[in-house]
Amino acid sequence: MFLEVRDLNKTYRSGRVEFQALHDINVTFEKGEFTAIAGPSGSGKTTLLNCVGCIDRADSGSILLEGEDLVERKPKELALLRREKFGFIFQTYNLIPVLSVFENVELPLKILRRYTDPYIREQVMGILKQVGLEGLEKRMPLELSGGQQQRVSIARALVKRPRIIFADEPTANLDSKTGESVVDLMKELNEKEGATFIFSTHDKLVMNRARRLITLRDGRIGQGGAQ
Amino acid sequence: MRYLFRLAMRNIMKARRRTVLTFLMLSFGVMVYLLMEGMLAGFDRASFQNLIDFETGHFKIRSAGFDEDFPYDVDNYISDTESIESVLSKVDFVTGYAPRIQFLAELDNSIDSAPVVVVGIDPSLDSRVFSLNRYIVSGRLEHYGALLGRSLARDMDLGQGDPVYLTFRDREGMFTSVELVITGLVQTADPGVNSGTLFMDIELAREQMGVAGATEISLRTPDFRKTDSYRDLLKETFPDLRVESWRELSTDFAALMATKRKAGGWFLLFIIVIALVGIINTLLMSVYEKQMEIGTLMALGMEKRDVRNLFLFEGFMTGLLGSLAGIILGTLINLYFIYKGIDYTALLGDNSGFNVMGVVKSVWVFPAYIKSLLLAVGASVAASWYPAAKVMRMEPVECLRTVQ
Repeated sequence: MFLEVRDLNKTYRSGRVEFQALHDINVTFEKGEFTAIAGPSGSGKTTLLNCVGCIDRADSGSILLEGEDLVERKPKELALLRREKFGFIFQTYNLIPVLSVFENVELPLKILRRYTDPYIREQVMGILKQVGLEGLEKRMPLELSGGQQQRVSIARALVKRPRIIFADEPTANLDSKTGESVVDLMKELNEKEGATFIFSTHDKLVMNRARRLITLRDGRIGQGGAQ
Repeated sequence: MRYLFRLAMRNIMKARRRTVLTFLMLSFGVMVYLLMEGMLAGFDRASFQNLIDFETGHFKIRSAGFDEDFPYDVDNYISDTESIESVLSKVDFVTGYAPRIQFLAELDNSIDSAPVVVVGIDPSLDSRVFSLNRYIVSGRLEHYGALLGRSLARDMDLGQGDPVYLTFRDREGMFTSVELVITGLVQTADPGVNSGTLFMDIELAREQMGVAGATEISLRTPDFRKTDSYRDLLKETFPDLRVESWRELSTDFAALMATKRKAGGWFLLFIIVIALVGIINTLLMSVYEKQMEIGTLMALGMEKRDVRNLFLFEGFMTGLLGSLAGIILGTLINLYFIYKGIDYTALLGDNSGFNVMGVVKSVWVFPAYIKSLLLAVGASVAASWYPAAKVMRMEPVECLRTVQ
């Protein structure tokens, strides 16, 4: 088993108000999977992705990556894990507005601090070609369309060849045609690169393209469970 | 680190309005600091120069028993000034010497009277040590004539050509009066002189007082900075007399100047605090605005330490560029004041409390440049520490949640 989530719970607190976003979640992911986590707004999709992606902390339970529990790890170790093994695609693209397309995509490699500039250039240009953004590397994010920005975000997530890519509603801000092309691109990269994709969505069109679907409702795995 | 630096620079350049505002605050603070340091140093220099040119010379020779508490007492007089002058004329580093006699008197214009300090001078010798001639605004000193401070003349409704009566106790303690004519008016940098001093011929003063010597003999040397070596030689030459350099004679004045400088220091601190509050505010705004970016960088695996460094870089660069801008501005404006100066008398009037008058020129204070640069950069980095520490406490998702 590649990634296993056991009895995961997460509660948000705001003053006296408490909201349990995840209830005893148990789910496993295999290497190279292309999995969608579906559910209505507030069902806990993003929370589950954030906890598994180690950008948020669960209250209890375990997240085992190749048998190693991530829940008790220190912030520095989690940063290292994200840096080395995880890629993220956000609903709002989250590109750094002051950096060009090229600079945004090279950022994960720069953060890794182990590659030479020529190698980084080669990798960035390669991935930009793959996502269809060749020739746009000098553009600033605000000079691109939503679909192009999401492609940059995908390129940024993939450039360091991570083990798992977490995508939170990657098509939510795109029109259906662009959304479809983005999912097709993710699927293509999943097949070519062999990276594990776990993404949340409430778009049926996108769900239909996933090889596996996990439904969430009120913080619990839905009746259909993980398919 | 290079990409962090690049990112910090891009962030600075991106928020142009905010950056310009912070730059303005910082550069204004640094500029004012440099100008104030330059002008205060200029005032110091002018004040000490005035003190030397008008009051102390480079050295003063007085009797060994000179009583500071009763400086006008006849017992303070050096009786044999001729032999001293004769020796001084042969000392190679003495470029000029001037005996002066000082005593207290009552000045009477037939209607009013006022106490004055009478200074008897030898005009030909005095001009080789002091710059009294520079301060004579009308007329000149003549035998049976007097130079009077302009403020006192105005208060007593006296002008050039008016007779006055001077009453004082002579060497025997007897009251003596002498009629003098105001032959000139002086306007100096010393308010005490302007409102309470009368200059007369030393020979006439000696004659009226019934004394032969002088209260003091002041000296001029080629270099006022070489006080220690000259003083030792003079003390060897005149072992029975009291020899003091302008530094020793101006300790009270130096203390006063230091107090005035301290007041200036508080003002500068105030400006720096304002600039710092501006920087903290700017960087805090920057944290809030960039929360999504910070969350993204953390999600991409950037360590919190590096995110903190990003803010410290921003603070550092803001401080560096802001202070450099301030230094350039301050230098350019200071350049004007160094060559043109400020007409201090026109600005604050005759008796402003400073020992300067007329145009005061600023000077270059190089330590102030280093100090302002270090202070501005250090303060900016310190100011960016708080927002950076705030970021260090945040989880990536907390930053991302603000926009998702």
